[in-house]
Amino acid sequence: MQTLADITKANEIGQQIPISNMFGAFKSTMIKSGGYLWKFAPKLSQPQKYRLRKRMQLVDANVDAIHNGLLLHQLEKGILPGVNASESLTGYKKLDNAKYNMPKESSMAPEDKYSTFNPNSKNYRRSLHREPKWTKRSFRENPTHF
Amino acid sequence: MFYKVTQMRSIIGLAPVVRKNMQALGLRKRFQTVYQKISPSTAHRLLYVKELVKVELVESTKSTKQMRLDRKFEPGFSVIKDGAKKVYQ
Repeated sequence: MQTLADITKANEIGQQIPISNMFGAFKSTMIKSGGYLWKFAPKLSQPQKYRLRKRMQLVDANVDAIHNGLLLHQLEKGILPGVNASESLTGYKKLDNAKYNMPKESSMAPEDKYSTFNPNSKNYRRSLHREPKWTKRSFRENPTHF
Repeated sequence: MFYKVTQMRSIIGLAPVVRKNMQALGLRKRFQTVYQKISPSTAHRLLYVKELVKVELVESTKSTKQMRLDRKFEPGFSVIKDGAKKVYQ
């Protein structure tokens, strides 16, 4: 005889319960009892990590192109950039920050590449594929000490 | 000097600020290419959408017609001597 606790535990670990114990159409699965069941793999797979690295490299190349383009444009036009500007700064805070302060894919630790800060997770880290729109956003900077 | 911007990712499900910046750059669909003049405002716009596009620096722009022509194969064919001959090694 199976108790409700047994069935719940079996559901959690993905075991199948024999039909004789489940009352046909009224069998209690996680989907039947709760509505949605969103499944996430526990870890990122190797190809997912590979594609993520490729996308990060593209972002790095884009930032370089954006920054270099504006810099060359300023040199060409003889426009003097802002007060803090030197030879390799455009004088625009956001652009210079993206170029020099945003971590590059090549310089990042695997932990930072594939996971990000989350206040509700164990050890304050969550795998990147649990983030909404994780393939279309950047998650490079975390709070200090996290 | 121009920014050559190619949209690589769709804007479906993204924040309005990202969608509006893509629209302002003249991008509607994936693999569409536009040329943008270099200016601080274009640079900041591109920074908003850096995950969705591919940015290159080019010397001159191309019209849509020219880009389409570049993609076409040359018409007709040329004969390669012994092209179909099998060689066993």
